[in-house]
Amino acid sequence: MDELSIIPLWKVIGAEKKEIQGLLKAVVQSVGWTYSVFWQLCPQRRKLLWSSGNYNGAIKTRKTTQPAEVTAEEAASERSQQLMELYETLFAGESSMEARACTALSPEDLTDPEWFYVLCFTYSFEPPSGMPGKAYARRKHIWLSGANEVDNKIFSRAISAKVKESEEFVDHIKSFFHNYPKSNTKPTLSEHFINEEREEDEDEVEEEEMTMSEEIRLGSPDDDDVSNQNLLSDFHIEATNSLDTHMDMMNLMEEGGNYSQTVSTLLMSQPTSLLSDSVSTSSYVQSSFISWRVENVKEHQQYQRVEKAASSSSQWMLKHIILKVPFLHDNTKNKRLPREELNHVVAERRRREKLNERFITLRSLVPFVTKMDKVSILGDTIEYVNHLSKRIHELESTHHEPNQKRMRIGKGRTWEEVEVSIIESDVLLEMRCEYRDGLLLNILQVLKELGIETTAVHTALNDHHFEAEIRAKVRGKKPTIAEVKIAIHQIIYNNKL
Amino acid sequence: MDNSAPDSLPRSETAVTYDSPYPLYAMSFSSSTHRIAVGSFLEDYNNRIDILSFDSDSMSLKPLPSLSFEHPYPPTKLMFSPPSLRRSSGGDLLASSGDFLRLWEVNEDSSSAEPVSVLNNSKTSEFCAPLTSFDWNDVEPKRLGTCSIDTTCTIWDVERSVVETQLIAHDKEVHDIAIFDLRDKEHSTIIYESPQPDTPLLRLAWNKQDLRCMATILMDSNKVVILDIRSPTMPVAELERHQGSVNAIAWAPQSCKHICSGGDDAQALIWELPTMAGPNGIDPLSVYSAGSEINQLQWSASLPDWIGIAFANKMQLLRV
Repeated sequence: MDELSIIPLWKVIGAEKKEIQGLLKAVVQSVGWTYSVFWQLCPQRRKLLWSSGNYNGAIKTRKTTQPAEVTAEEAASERSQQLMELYETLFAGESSMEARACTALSPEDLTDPEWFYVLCFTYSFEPPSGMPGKAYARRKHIWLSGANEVDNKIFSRAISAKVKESEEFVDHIKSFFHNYPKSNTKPTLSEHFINEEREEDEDEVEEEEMTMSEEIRLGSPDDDDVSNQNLLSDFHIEATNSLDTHMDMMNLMEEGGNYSQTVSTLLMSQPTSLLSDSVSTSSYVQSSFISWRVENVKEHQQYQRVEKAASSSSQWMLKHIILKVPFLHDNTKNKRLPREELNHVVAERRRREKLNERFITLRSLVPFVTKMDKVSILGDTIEYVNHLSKRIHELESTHHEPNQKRMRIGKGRTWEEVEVSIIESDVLLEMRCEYRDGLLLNILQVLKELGIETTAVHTALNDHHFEAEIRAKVRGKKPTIAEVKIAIHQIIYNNKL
Repeated sequence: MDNSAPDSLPRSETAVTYDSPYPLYAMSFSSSTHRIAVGSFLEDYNNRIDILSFDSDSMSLKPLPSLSFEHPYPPTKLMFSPPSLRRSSGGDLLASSGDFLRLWEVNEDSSSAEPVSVLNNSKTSEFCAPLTSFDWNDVEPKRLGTCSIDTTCTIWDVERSVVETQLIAHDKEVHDIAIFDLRDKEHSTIIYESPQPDTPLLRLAWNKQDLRCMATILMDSNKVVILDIRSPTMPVAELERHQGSVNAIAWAPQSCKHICSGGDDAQALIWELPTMAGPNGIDPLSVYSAGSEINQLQWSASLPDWIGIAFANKMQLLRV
């Protein structure tokens, strides 16, 4: 249902604020509408500002310190008070957040009408603009029916009110107001919604004349989500893009300035919680999705995956598509596949694995590998081998002379050389010394004693010059390079004896 | 006048539905036009691929009968070519996987859908190992990768209709493939192994906005596992709020933190991945309840405000 009625009041009522509050409350509760708001003219700014109001509509989450047995009216007035406090805390900024009482409302406790009511606090109307302004200027009541279809320019709060019509109610209320001028009323009228203007320099209390044109603001927005597509087309909050609230706020700015500024201020100060709730409670975006509630978790805890999945047809279509459908294609060819082609595939894979292993070993042997890809490994290895063979050449040629020299000098100095490198569990031993029978066997034996298992031996024997390159693997405790060198040197020394 | 809580109101007015005469599985959004391809799921030889046209102004999904064509057995996946692939004729290229990888040209003027090529990756015989899924490379749209029950994955050059490479990296049938970087085809690393042995990973998806992130779902599991390739084997997050097994996942096309999942509980959940997870795990942002188990879910960059789901005989577009 929704109607708005704004009836101007040029009559002065010098009522106190509390009285007004009481009047508003009585009025809204008697007819059973959702809220009433009193707009007061501020002379300095020539604007109608929110002065007093009473909320009597649907409540989402009740937070109260009173015992359960309160009358509806008292509950409603307490609610109005709580809404007021909520508004104040929201606009006071984050510093005041901690000070809130446990019974203070937070945004997610609000229904849409309550939210609309809170937002009304922020509105101001400069007559003759806006609905209240127009009523004020014209000194006539304005009855707005079908507020949901009104252009934003006429009813600038339409954007925050989602409304729906109900014919009978419209007629009923209309009849009310047709009868209204005739009735003789008292201040605590039960029929009327009062939205009075007060001019400050007048101070009369003319209750019996209160019946003459009053400015009334009636409203009870509902939040069914049949809302005005046109109005909302520019307004787009995406719950999923909470990071982009700023972008969305920009879109808002064009449409309904005050409202958008209000919402954006709110959202800036409380980005995530407010945003996700404003989507659910306000549904401005016609999202197909609804907000997640923690109650769902309770049901989830009862869910036992193993039992359910095994017994029921879990992921039926997905499993079928992946596991069954491919085999629907010609069965004969599938019978061939597993035997022939799979074997081939497995063999191919093993070959590749071996290749990869060997590449890794090679990389570990070559000292200066820069990149880890196969091409670089091979290139670096080639360079290293070339370098080594050059070095061998040099050493051999230079060693020939000193070799002779040394032999002439005496047996104290020998030209033997032992190089040992151990990388992970791979051992490389390069040595040269003077040959003696049984030398190689002794070397291999001592290596075994050190826990080194020889895997490859390359030897060369020229002219009593023995050269060996031995590759091995460490088994068990890894000896240090020094230990190996010492042992080999020992052999060479012993062999000479 | 009193209104019930907003959540209980039906939201189906905002979803656009297409009723199909048969159950649907495969689904793909075109990147250039507002067209959606849907594949049937009938357990016999005669299946169909239909092309629908989506009109966001009138909020309607209409089939284009002239573009409907047959497919042998259900297509395991449908995918339109990525936006970087422009056809000279202006139409769309649609690929379907089933017994072979087939390419179809869907004409601009809605006159017909013509088969372009049939790609068979078996060298030895004329029969190809049936394909479980495939993916089009966004960066180099001439490349397309398929995966098959014979444990191989094949990279195709669709312009020349030849095989580029075959990868043999799995021990068993390959269920899904997602391609990003094809520069280094030599290395494959095990990124994630499911915690229970013998629980295959059924589907996976790269996050196109944050390419280190991917999501996967396991067989008979209600979890969506989020992985970061920089820390293999340790999932970044496990989203465990579905009340049934998860069937499909899709990352948001324009946000690196949002993902949508659909499952046997008939729910589609939108999640936002926080930088730090709370003690009880991560809760979804929002939920949509469909009529029955959701079998397919697509979130396309061409329609970022809409998520497409397939359940029973229906395909629905949900507004985000």
